[in-house]
Amino acid sequence: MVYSRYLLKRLIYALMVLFIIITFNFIIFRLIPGDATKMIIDPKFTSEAKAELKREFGLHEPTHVQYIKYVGNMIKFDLGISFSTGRFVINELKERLPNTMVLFLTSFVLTVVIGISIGVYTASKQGTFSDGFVTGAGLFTYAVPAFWIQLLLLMLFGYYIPILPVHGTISAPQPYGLFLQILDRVHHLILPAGSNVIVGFGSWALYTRNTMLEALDQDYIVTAKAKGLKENIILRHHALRSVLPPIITLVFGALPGVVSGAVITETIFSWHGVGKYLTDAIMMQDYPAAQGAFYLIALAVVVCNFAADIIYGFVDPRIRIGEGGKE
Amino acid sequence: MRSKKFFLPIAICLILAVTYGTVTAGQAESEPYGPQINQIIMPIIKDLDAQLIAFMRGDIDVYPGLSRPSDLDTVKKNPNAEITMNYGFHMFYLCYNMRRDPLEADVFRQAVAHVIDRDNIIQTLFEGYMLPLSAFLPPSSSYYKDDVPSFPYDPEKAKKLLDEAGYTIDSATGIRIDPETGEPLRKITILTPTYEMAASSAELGKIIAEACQGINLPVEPEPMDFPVMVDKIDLREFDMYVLAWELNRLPTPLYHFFHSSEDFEAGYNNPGIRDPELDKVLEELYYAPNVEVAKKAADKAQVILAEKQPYTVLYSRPYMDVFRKDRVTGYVPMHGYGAANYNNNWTTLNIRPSEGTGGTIRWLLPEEPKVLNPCTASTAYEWEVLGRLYDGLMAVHPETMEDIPWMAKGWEIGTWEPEPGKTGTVITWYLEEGIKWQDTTAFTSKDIKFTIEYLRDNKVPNYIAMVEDVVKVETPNDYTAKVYFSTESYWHLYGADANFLPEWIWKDVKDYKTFEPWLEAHPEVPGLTKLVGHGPFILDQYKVGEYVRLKKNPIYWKLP
Amino acid sequence: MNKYQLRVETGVMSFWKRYKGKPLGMIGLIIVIIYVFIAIFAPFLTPYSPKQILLADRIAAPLWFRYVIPKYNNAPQTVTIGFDSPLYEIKDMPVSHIIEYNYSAPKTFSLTFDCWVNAPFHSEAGFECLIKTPEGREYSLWGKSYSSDSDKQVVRIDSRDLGLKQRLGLTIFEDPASKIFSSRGDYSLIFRPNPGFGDTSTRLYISNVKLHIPGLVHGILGTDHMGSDLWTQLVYGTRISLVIGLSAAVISVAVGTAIGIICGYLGGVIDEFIMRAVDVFLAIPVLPILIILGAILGKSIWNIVILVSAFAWMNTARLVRSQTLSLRERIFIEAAKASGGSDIYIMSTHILPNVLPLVFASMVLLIPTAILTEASLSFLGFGDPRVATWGRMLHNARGFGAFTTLAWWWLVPPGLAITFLSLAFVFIGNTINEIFNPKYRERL
Repeated sequence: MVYSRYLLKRLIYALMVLFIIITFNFIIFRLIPGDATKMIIDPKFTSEAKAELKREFGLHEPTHVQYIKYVGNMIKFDLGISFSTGRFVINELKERLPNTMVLFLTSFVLTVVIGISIGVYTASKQGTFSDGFVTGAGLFTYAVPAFWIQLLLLMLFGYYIPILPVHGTISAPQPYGLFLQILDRVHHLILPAGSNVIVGFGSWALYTRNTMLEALDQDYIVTAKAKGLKENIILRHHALRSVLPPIITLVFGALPGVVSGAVITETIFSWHGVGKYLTDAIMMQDYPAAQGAFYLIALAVVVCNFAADIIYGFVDPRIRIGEGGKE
Repeated sequence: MRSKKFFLPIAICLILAVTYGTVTAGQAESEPYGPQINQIIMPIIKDLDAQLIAFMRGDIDVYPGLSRPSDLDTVKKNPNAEITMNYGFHMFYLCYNMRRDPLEADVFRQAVAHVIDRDNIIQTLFEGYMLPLSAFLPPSSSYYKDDVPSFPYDPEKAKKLLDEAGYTIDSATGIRIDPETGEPLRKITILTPTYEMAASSAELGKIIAEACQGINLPVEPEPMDFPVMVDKIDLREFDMYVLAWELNRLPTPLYHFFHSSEDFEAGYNNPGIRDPELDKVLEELYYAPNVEVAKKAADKAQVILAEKQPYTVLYSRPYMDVFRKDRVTGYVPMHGYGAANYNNNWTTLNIRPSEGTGGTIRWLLPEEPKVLNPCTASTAYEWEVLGRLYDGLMAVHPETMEDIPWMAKGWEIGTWEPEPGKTGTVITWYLEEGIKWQDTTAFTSKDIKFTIEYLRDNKVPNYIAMVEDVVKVETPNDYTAKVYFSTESYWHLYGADANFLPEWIWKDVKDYKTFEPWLEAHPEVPGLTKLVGHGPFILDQYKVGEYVRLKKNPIYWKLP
Repeated sequence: MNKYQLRVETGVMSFWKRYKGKPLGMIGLIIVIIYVFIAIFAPFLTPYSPKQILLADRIAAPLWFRYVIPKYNNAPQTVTIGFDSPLYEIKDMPVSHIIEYNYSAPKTFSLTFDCWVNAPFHSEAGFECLIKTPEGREYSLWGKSYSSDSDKQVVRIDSRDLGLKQRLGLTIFEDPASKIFSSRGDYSLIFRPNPGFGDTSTRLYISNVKLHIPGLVHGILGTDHMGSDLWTQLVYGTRISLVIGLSAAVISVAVGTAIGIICGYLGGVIDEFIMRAVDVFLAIPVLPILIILGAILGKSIWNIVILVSAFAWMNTARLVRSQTLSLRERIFIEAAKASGGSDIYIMSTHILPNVLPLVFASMVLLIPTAILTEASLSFLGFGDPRVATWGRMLHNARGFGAFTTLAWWWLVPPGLAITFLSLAFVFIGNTINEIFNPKYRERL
C-alpha cells in the first residue's frame, strides 16, 4: 500500500520531468539563430520551393499552435522529418539506437561490475597497496579527461599498433555466420567499451570500498564478528546487503553522466549511434533531428530514474514500512 | 561536411589534368564495357584519419577525394598507391557586398583583388595542390575563359589605384580616407567559417585581411558558425565573405549568381551586382538556342565580371583520387570529375582487379549516403551510390567532354510554337532498344514521360528548375520521346535527361519525400528492393553507418 | 557580530596550521600556484603568440627529440637566411652565396628576393637563379629574359609550387626540397646571366634575398597542423582553463549555497519546489544540453562559464540544504530567532558561516569538473573558436592529422595539463574536507 503510493508519486514526478523536458526542448530550438530553409543554398531551389519547404516543416504557423502540435507529436513519438535528409527522425534514430544500446550497456555494466567487485575485494583486503590502488583509480576517474584517455588508446591500438578497428560497429562487409558476426562486433567493441571501463571503474571501486568499510564499522557487523562469523560471510551477507541500496541509487543516478560520455565516445570512435547523431544534427542545424535525439536521450534517463525508484523502494525497507524513503 | 549543401551536385574542356597513372582517358573508349567486377563494397568512413589508416592497412582499394593535402605524404609511403589528380568544377571565391559603401566602388574591389597572393596562399595552405583561379567559371568547364582582365598580385599597384581614386592615408590613424565622407574608412569584416569547421578558409580570411591592412584598409576577419554565416549572407549583413561553389559543366550558374533578378533576400546574387549590360548578356546565355550563342554570351559575361569583380575568384580544388594499383586497375582519369567520381561512369564500367576478372572492390564512401531516394537525394555521397544504379541518356566523353550517345542513340533539338508568336524547344530522344530495368521490365520512352511529368507535377525541388518549363511529353513509339518546352533554351537538353523512375513502382507512391525505396522489398524479384535502376550495379545491402554493397547487374545492356 | 569575526580569523590561522601538515594538500597547492604563475607570465614563457602560424613545418616534432630519439638526430630546424649585402649587381659574372646546411632533408623551402633590370632598349638578356649542392648538382629555380627595363618585382619561389616542380623535371607528387637538400654540407645560391646570351650592358639588381627552410623540429612541444607553436598554445590555454574553472565554480557554488540555505531554512513549498527542480536538473544529461544551449547562445567563454554553472549548482544546494536543516534545530539559531533576528540576518550571519567550510571544499572540487566540461565541449568543436584552449588543441589533434602522423606529442601534453590541474584541485578539496568535514573524507 505504502509502496504503491510511493510508486505513484514517483511516476507523476517522472511524467512531470518529461513534460518539462519536452517544453524546454520546444523552446530552445526556436531560439536557434537562422532557420532550416537557410541551409539550402542551391540555385536549383527557387524561392517558391523554399517557401514550400517551410510550409512543409510547419514553420509558418503561430508558435502556440506549433507547441500544442509538438507536445502531441512527442507523445506519439512522431519526431518530425529531418531537415538535412528529409527522412523521419524516428526511423533514423531506430537505426542508431541498437548501436548505442550495445555500446552503452556493455560499457556501463562492465564498469559497474568491475568497479564494485574491486571495491568489495579491496574492502576485505585492507592494506597499503589496495588502498593506494583504489584511491588512485578513483582519482583517475575524477581528474583525468575520459576522452583524452580514449584518444590515447585509439592512437595506441588503432594507429601505432594497428590491431583494433578505429571506426564503426561491424566490419565491411559483415562476415557470414552468427558466431563470426558476434566475434566481429566484440572486436569493434573492445576499444570504445574497454576505454569506458578503464576511465570509469575507479569511482565505483572507491565508493563501494568506502561504503563497505563504513558498514563494517557498524554495530551489527561488529556483533556478527564477535559471534565468530567468518570474515567473507560477514562481507557477503551483511555488509554488502547494507550498502546495496545506496549503490543502486548511485548506479541509476550516474546515468545522465554516462549518457554525456556516450556522446563523446561515439564521436571519437565514429560509432553510428544516437550521441553522434545529436552532435551532427546540431552542427547541421537540423532542429527536428537534434530535438528527436535529445528527447530520446532525456527519455532514457527519465525511464532509468523511474526504474531506480522502483528498485530502490524494493530494496530499502524504510520505504515499505513508510518512512518516506530517499526524500 | 556541411558546406556540401553549398555545392551543386549536378554535373567541359581540358586545361590541366595530371595523372600519375598508366591508364589514359582514350583507352576507355576502346575497352569492352563492363561492369568488370562482381561487387563493390563501400565502407562508410567519415573520420579522415580512419580513412587514411584504412587505405594504408589495405581495407580499401579506392580512396576518392583525398581532402587533406598533408595526407599525401603518408599515402606516398605506400608503394602500391597510385595518385591521380584532375581539376574539377570547384571554385573558391571572395565575395564583396556591392550594396555597401565602400565596397560599391569598383576601384576598391580591384585594389583588394590586387593584394591577394594566390600562389602564396595555395603553397602555404594547400601544399601547392590547388589551381590558382581568377576566372568566373571553373577550369574544367568548356565555357571557361582565362584571357579576361585580371588583377595579379601587386600591392604597389593596389596602393596606386587607391591613391589615385582619392583614398588617401589619414596621418592620425594610418587608415585610408573615404573620399566621399572625408572620414577614415569604417571597419570592414570578412566572414569566414570557424577553424573547427574549415581551418583553411578561416586562415585564408585572416591572410586576406592582413594583406588589406598592408595597404591601409581596415579589414578584419570574422570567423563564425556556418549557419550563422549563411544567415548573414542571405540577409545581406556582410561586407565580404569567403566560400566555395561546386559547379557543373554548364555555364548557367553565372545567370543565377550575377543576374539582377536574383538580387533579393536569400537570392543567389550575393554580391548584389546590378548591371544592365551584364543582365542582357546573362539572359542571352540562359536562353541560348545553341552552344555557339551560349559560348559567345558566356565569354562576354566573364569579361564584364572580371572587370567588375563582384567576386574575386581565388582557386579551384582538384580531385585527388588514390588507388591500390596492386589490387585494381582500369580506372579512367577524367577532367572535371576525377577518376573515382560517380559522374565518371568510365571508371565504374572499367575498373577491375589487377589479376583475373570478377571479384570485389572496396571503395571508400566518406559520408553517410542517408537518403537513397533519387528524388530527394541531394549530396554527392548519395549520388556516389545512386549514380551507379542509374544510367544516362547521354554520356560525357572522357577526353573531349562532349555529350555522346548512351542510352539514347541519338537526339534532335528543334523548336515549336507553344503559343502563337512564341518559340519553345523540342527535344527528341531516340532510345537504344533492349535496355531493361534491373527487374527485367523493359526501359521505354514511357518511363521518360512518366519521370519528367512526375518531377514536374510533384514540384520535386531538386529537379523543378529543370522540368518546370515542360509542356508535354509525347511518345510516338517505345523508343522515341519528344519533350516540349515552353521556352527556348539549349540547356533544356540537360533538363530532360532525368530518367530514373520506373513507372510501375513510382505510380503508387503517395509521398515521394518520405518514400524509402531501399527499405522496401521488391514485390516480384527476390533480392531486389524498390530501388530499381538500369545502371551497371544493383543495390545489394545498405548497413546504415557501416557500408553499402553493390553487385553487378547481370542484365546490364552494355555488358560485353 | 565580533564574536563570529574573531572565530573566522582564528579559524583561518588554525586551518592553515593544520593544512600545512597535509602533504597531498601542499602538493596540490604548489601545482596550482605553478599553473597560476604560468597563466600570469604566459607572454614571458614563450616568444610566440598562440595565433602565429608557419613557425616551422606543419606537425613538427619537439626540438629536444634531436637529442633523445635517434630518428630525429639530424632533423632540420627552421633555417632563415637573409643575405648580408643589401644589393647585388649582376652583369657578366655570377654572384654566389654559400649556405651551410647541416640537417637531414626538409620537406619544403622558399626563397624570396626583389629584382629589377636595367637594360638597353631592344637588348635581350636572361638571368637565372640556381642552387648548387655539395655534390655539384645544379637546380635552376628561376629564370627570366628581359628586353627592356623592368620595375622592381618581388619573386617568391616555393618548393610546393607545381610550376617549379615542372621546371625541375619532377612529377607533381615529388618533393623538390628533399631532392635538393638531400645531403649535408655547403650549398651555393647562385644568380647568373645565361651564358652566351645577352648584352653585357644589361644589369640585374637583386636585393632582400631570403631563404627559408621550415624545420621539422621546433620548440618545446613542436607545432600543429598550421605550424603554430604547441607550447605557446598550452601555456595560453592555462589562462582559459583557470578562468573558466574558477569562475564557473564560484558562480555555481554561490548559487547552490544561496538556494540550499533558503530551502533548508525556510522549508515548506519553496523547499519542495526547488528540490524538485534540483531533481529535474540532475536528470538532464549535461553535455548534450550544453552543446545545444551553446549553439543557441553563441560560443564565447563567458557563455560557457554560465552554462557550466547552470548545470553544476545542484549538488551544492543539496549539501547545504541538509546542513542547514540540521543547523536550524541548533540552540544558537533558536536563540537568535527568539531574540527577534530577521530571517535574512539569521541566514547570513548564523547559518552561512557554519556552512562555509563545507561550501569551500565543494567549490574547490567543482573546479576540475568545470575544467573537464569545458575541455569536452571544446574537444567536440563547441567551444569558443577564438581562444586557444586545451580542449581545442585536442580537437585539432584529432581533426588535423595527429593520428596518422603518430604525433603523440601533440596529444599527450594538453591531457596531462588538464589532469595535473584537476588532481591539484582534488587534493586541495580533499584536504579541506579532511580538516573541516572529516565525515566526507575521500568521497570524491
